[in-house]
Amino acid sequence: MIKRLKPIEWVATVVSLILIVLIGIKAWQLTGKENNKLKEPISNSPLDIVFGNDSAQLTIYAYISYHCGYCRLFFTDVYPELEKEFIASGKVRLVLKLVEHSNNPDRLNEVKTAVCINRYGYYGKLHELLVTNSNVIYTDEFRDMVNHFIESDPLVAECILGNESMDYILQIRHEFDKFGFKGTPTFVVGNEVIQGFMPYDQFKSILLKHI
Amino acid sequence: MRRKLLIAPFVLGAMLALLTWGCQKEDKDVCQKFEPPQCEIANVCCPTDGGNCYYDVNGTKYYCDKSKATSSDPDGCDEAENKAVADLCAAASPGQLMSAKVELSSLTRKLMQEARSFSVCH
Repeated sequence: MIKRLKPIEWVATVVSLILIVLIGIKAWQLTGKENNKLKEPISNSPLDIVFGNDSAQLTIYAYISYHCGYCRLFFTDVYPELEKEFIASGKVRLVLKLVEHSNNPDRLNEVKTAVCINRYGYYGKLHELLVTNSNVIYTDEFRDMVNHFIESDPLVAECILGNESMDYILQIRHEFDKFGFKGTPTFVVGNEVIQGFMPYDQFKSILLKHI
Repeated sequence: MRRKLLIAPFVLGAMLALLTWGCQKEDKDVCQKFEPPQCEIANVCCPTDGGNCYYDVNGTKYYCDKSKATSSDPDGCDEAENKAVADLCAAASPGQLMSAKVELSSLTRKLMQEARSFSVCH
């Protein structure tokens, strides 16, 4: 037969039950963070900006913007090491997905130009320019340069002025939201989602788990 | 049994505290080198909690102000950058300071010229 509980024991029981529920919620949140896995595959597009060999054993998808400080930090601090150790040797390829959520004409113009030059021209110098000074896109000189590209190459012109590049921007926007990504940079390695910047050593340790 | 019942809230409270604070990653600032020609290297730092970035010049912080963002200055950093450059290059003569700013701009122009020349076939 169960003995009657004293009031203080009732209080202890209720508090314990509340704490058990809170611990459960916290543990679920932490487990959710650890198992940050993508359940659907990422779509590939001919407009993706790819660094590395298509036959590489591991693909890293990077959702980035040249206007995000941590993305530029990735390119200046992490990418050179990554390139030297993994991309040049053909182990890894990096696929850039340029995220643009605003409808600012200069920002859209920048992404359209980047992906179209990457597809139909040589992207290296433009990439270097955008990493060094992303605000250059707001200048008349940049707009003039884009017009120069359009006048020089009909394929680039069709890509920038037609629907292809805009559809691509909308597709990335949709995918970014669908996967529940919160900001840039976001990386997907295998099916593991990594939100935010991390130093090279930390990045490398994640890569090694997948290779 | 009843004694255990009285101890349980303390044990559970300690577990919850451990899960909450023990697993919390420390917020830190990520800094990037900033080097106007002619002057010393400074850092531009961004707190990982999403706060305003700042320029760190010899321990003095010059904070950007997102509320002052414009289309050409999306992070509201122009004012902080100008103050940081002025402080950073205090030892430089006005001529050198002007030269530093012109050189910064000329780097962008050089890269733009290269991008213009080498991005498409003619």
